[in-house]
Amino acid sequence: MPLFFLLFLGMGFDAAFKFSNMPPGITYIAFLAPGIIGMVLLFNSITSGLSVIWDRQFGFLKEIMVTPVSRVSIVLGKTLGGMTTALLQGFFILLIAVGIGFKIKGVLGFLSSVLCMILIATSFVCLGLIFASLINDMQGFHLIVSLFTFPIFILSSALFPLERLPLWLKYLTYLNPLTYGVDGLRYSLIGMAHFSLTLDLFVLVGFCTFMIGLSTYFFRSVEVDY
Amino acid sequence: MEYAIQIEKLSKKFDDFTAVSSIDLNIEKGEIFGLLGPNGAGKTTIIKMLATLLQPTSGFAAVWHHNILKDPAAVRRSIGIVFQDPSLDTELTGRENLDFHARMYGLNKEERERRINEVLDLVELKDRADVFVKFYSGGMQRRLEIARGLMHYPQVLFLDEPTLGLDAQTRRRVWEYIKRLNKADSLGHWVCRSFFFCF
Ligand SMILES: Nc1ncnc2c1ncn2[C@@H]1O[C@H](COP(=O)(O)OP(=O)(O)O)[C@@H](O)[C@H]1O
Ligand SMILES: [Mg+2]
Repeated sequence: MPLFFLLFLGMGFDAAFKFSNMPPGITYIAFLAPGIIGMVLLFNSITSGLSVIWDRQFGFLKEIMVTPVSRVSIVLGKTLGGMTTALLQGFFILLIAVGIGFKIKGVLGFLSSVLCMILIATSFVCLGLIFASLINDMQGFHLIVSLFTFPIFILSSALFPLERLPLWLKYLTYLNPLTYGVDGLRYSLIGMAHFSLTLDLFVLVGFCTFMIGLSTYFFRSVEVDY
Repeated sequence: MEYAIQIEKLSKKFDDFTAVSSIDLNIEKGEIFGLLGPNGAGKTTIIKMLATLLQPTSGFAAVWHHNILKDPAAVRRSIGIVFQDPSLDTELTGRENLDFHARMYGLNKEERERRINEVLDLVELKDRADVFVKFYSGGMQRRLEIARGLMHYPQVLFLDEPTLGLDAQTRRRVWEYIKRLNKADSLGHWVCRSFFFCF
């Protein structure tokens, strides 16, 4: 699915439009690739909360919650697991992008992009965990997840540059943490950014810490009633 | 205080429905306590509150001197529990389930191996230990859960209908294991200090 996005959207828009404010030498597909990586991270991270719903349905969640392991550790454990799979998916897209001619700007850029990926994935795994701690059933979880992920994805500069958006829409994207994630990725990978990498990382680290704290808070009050 | 479990005016409401209504109960250390009641009487709800899995609506309880509201981590450290409903990871083997549990309780590698073999012996599951739990019969799963509840030396062991859904023969054997736990005491081995049964 994300692959289709990258290939067809990328090539289609590349042929149909020339974004007037694209820096010279940057194709739409190069612009899009970091956005698609952001999208893949978002979707995979948030749905990893499903593992909690599974545990609950099979009764294994009670066994986890009754142990003296601190709730932070449970959250961090779940986060590391979810983050790893999301990260692998992100790398997979990056690999494909490189395969179709995407050029990464240097080793340092690659490293800071990995950092961005880790922060994006961790934050949204935590969001998934929060949903999973509030919702007991699979359908409800999917509903809430799709309700949240699409606006987060669309309002994140993953698909189009922020510069020419109407002001109100622009401010809306500024409120979206994924905007900073995609921006950080884009700067790391192709050297193009709306904000600065420092601001991106600052926001991402802040958001990530906040989300870990918040999901721990929610996990503390999880009741296992069946 | 010499009580293993202290309960004062403990209540639990699910929305408007009162499942547990102002229970008072003290259970002494070393006591084997049985809680009897028809289906839906609220036994499981009481156990879940004592095990910190459910928040009481009102009232107070302490397990092994630890307040279930103020110090849930200490309560969790003191108890073992055999749930009424299945609680095993069926995609793991019996041994892996026990190993996971032991890791969660911070047992080191040596202790884990020793304890796993001890409790597997106790419930006679040693030869089936490396089979996936999804291939276990109901009785075998139950025995594995009892083994698991015991392996981290809990002070209080909760058993919620431990013989539910078992055939007569397996039921008798489960009781034998539990009796054997008592015998182990007279031989000077470690034994669970208090039992809290539900039927
Ligand atoms: N999560 C829940 N939400 C609403 N009602 C519940 C919930 N859990 C239990 N109950 C109700 O509380 C009552 C007591 O249940 P339970 O403690 O399981 O009884 P017992 O274990 O004695 O058979 C039952 O009527 C049950 O339907
Ligand atoms: Mg019950």
